[in-house]
Amino acid sequence: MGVAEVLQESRRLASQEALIPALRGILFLFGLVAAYGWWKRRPRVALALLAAGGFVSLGFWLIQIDAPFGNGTDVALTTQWAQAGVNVVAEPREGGYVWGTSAERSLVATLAALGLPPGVVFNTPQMAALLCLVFLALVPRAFIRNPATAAFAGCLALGGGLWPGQGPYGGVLRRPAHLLVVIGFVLLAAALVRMPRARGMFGRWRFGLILGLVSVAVLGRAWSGGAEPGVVTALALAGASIALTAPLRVTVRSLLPSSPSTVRLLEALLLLCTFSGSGIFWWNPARALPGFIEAREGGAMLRKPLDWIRANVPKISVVLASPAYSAQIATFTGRRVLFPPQGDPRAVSEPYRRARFAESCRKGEPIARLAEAFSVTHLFLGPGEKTPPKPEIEDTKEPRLSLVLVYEDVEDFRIFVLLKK
Amino acid sequence: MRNLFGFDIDGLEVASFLGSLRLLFSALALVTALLVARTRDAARIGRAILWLALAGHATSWFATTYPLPNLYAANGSMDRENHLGWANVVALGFSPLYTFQVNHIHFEPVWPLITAVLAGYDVDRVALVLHWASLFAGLGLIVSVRFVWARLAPGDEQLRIEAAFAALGGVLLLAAPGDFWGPFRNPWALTLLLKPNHALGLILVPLAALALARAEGWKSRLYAGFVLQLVGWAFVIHMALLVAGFITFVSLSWITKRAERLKDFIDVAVAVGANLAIVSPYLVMLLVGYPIVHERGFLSGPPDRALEGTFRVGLLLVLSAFGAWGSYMNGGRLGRILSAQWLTAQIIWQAYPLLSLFGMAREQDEVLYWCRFWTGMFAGAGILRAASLTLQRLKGRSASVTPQLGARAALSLVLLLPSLLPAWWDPSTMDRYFQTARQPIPDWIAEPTRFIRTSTPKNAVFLGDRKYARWIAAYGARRVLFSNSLNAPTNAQRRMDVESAILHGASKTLVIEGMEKYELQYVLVTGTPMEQAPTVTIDDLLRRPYLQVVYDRTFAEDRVVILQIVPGERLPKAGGS
Repeated sequence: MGVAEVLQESRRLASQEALIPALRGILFLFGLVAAYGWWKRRPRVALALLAAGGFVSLGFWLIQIDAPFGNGTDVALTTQWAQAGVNVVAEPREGGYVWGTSAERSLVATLAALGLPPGVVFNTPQMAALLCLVFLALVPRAFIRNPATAAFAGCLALGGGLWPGQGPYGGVLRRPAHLLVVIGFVLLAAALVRMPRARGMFGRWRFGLILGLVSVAVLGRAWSGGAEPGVVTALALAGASIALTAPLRVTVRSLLPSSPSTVRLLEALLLLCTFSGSGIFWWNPARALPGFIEAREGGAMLRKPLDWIRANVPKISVVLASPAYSAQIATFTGRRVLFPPQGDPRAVSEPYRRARFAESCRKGEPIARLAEAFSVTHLFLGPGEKTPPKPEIEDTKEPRLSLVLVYEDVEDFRIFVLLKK
Repeated sequence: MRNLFGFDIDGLEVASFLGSLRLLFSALALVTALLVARTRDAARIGRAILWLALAGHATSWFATTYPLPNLYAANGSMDRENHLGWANVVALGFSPLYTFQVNHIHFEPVWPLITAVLAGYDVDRVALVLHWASLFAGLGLIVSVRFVWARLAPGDEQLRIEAAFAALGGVLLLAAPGDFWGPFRNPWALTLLLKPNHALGLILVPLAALALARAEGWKSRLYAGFVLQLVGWAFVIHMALLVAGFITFVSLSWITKRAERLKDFIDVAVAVGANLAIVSPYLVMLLVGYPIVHERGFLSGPPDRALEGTFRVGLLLVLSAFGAWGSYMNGGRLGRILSAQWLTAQIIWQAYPLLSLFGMAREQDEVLYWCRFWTGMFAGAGILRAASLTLQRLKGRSASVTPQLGARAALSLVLLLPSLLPAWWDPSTMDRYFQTARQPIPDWIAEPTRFIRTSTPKNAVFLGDRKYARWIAAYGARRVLFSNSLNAPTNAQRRMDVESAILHGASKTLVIEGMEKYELQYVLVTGTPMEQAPTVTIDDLLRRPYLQVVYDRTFAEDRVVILQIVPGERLPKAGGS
């Protein structure tokens, strides 16, 4: 069994609803053992175990994603993926995925333009989610000197923080670039905190910072709505949790000043409860995250015709397809298209000439001059789209091309090549 | 399309509307935190938090109900439609002791009566009463918790603030953000918006606890029993859970308070006994009208449900435990009674897998909501105590200054804010009842029921499609012989015989019995075969001489036919029963 088959089998297994309670059971066990580790003075073990639990939870869901996340369900993400696809393959590299437009700027498009393999580019959101987990587990060490308190803060933060059900992972999947921006700010802050004066200010203004972060998170969530918090909202709450860790431990110690073992037990209980109520523990993107189901199911029907295009259509070619298919063609084949996808508000140049050319193709007699101007070499038709008729009377005013069927399948996808008569 | 406030909602941008209300509440909470941080007067701080809690519930209620052309959960929830039906028939002047299944003993008789009285016995106002009841139920619950909590330890300054936080938590911490896709969905919406009678039970619960805490002699013990039976009439499950909590209170008292244990035992025994004596007619109704001893309940869902009531709220569970511990230790008798309720709620929820083995794991949703109510209430109180302790400790390091009450309250409020329902509640993505109620009631339900409401006598009783029956009651405001949204009446077999006789044209005696005993006047059928008579078609019924068509319309989704039962010569010839 190859890697692809193992992945496919894992996806099939993980997508079964009945496994979710088992996942929760496993995560709870991770929480229990981590809490025990904390009680027995093993803070790093506790952190590692909770991070491993987080990894299991994320892995369970992320492995189910079989297509670029948000492609076809979110207009902004769809255009980003289309641009990334074109940046990976198409020639020339410059320009947008719709012929004659400027390039769409996004994290994934930039990674593709830098020459990263498609497997990496298309899995960027999943990798960002995993990076987020590692970041949240380790970042407290940059701000907190006491290793035990830093580990405690990492344990609290990696699930999304002290507030139940508020994890950043859904937001990161949708907007991986936001995570990088936040990481940038945090690293800058970490560098500043190395300065004694800044550290002193941090100590003095700790509660102000906490209140500020919580306010940002609350207002952000209130504004954006939805079932899951955005990246900034969730990470602000995680940040507030990190800043709250030291006062929290002080409170626990002041409850039971004379018994270090009981204090640790109480802290362990706190870790268990926080992890078991966290966003990562209860995360269910299949129910809460728009686009997850579609990303899980992929586009199996389209796969064969798109594979054919990838193998047979030159990289400099432009494909004429209806807006329903243009983003998918650009994303998965890396070929440019003549029309933007549905919902893409961008204005394209020469709209009338494009429309005229599309109409000529619909009639079965593509205008040669326009085909050359737009670099269109292939016509893609999906189920329900009419096959162009064979022209009976030759139009002598303007040279025309003929449409030759080169691909057809049982799903009624058809691809025509535009050839000189 | 107009909502129940009378405003046109056709052009309403729901996402922006909901976002604005969330922002409004969040900003209000932050401003409140800022104001209370500068205040030294505990009473003023408590009032500010209390007003914020009231505003929070009102905001969420407004956000959820304003964009709806129907009553919340209409067009989607069987419970809501049952409630509407019950209240409608009482508003028509029928006895509150019966459901909309004619002569069927009720198992929740008080709420339909209250609704009908508030509607002035006008059926057209029933939906409006239910609509506003969900607002006032939440406000009432906040006031009730605040009122009772403030009596934990009179004279304690911080207690005034703590009482307001407990009230805030009891309502606005009922739900966690991820609840909406879980098996029990959002406890706030499903208790306060969907079932205001359950909320009424919750309002009475703290008052019953206070009455018991104040019980000294026989008179006050009987009074405690009287208040307790009110909880039973409002919602009997809350009464049962409350009594279980009282038993825990006595048990804990037996272990930890030797001096008071006998008194506690006598107080609880007398109060519970008096309660059972007063509420016994209702309990008899319940046993007769509802298959409480026959139905068995098993945990139908996955085993991770045990975590739903407790660990799902994460740190709030720890804070609530902290709050409950503090109340038990320092809150006097009332504090011990309330803390025992918290403990019992957790124990009962955790015992559910065990109860399931014996088929006794019933009403899981109500027990979860009960558990969340106590958790939220004590978490609200717990965070204030934790914040006080933290600030005291931190200030104590640098200077021996007691931190201001205002600073404690402000910190607690801001820390609670991300978990408070109005700050994250987005019904357009989190509430399927909101989504269905946004749609108009389908024409094949709305139009026939409008005909029923306006063109049939008020005492008319329908038979036929049992699935459609609840819509007849909810939107048509008429009674039915059978509805598959309710449990079967005790004389179900005889009813079925009557029903069968009318549908099959078999027995004149039974048809006459149906018309006289059950006041049957109409048959409503749809194009979908009836579950109790799948072979009987609309055409068969049209051929019955004693059935006369009064309504027949084919909609895109289904055909709906209403036939009037015509007494006299046309009845079937065959006799006997």
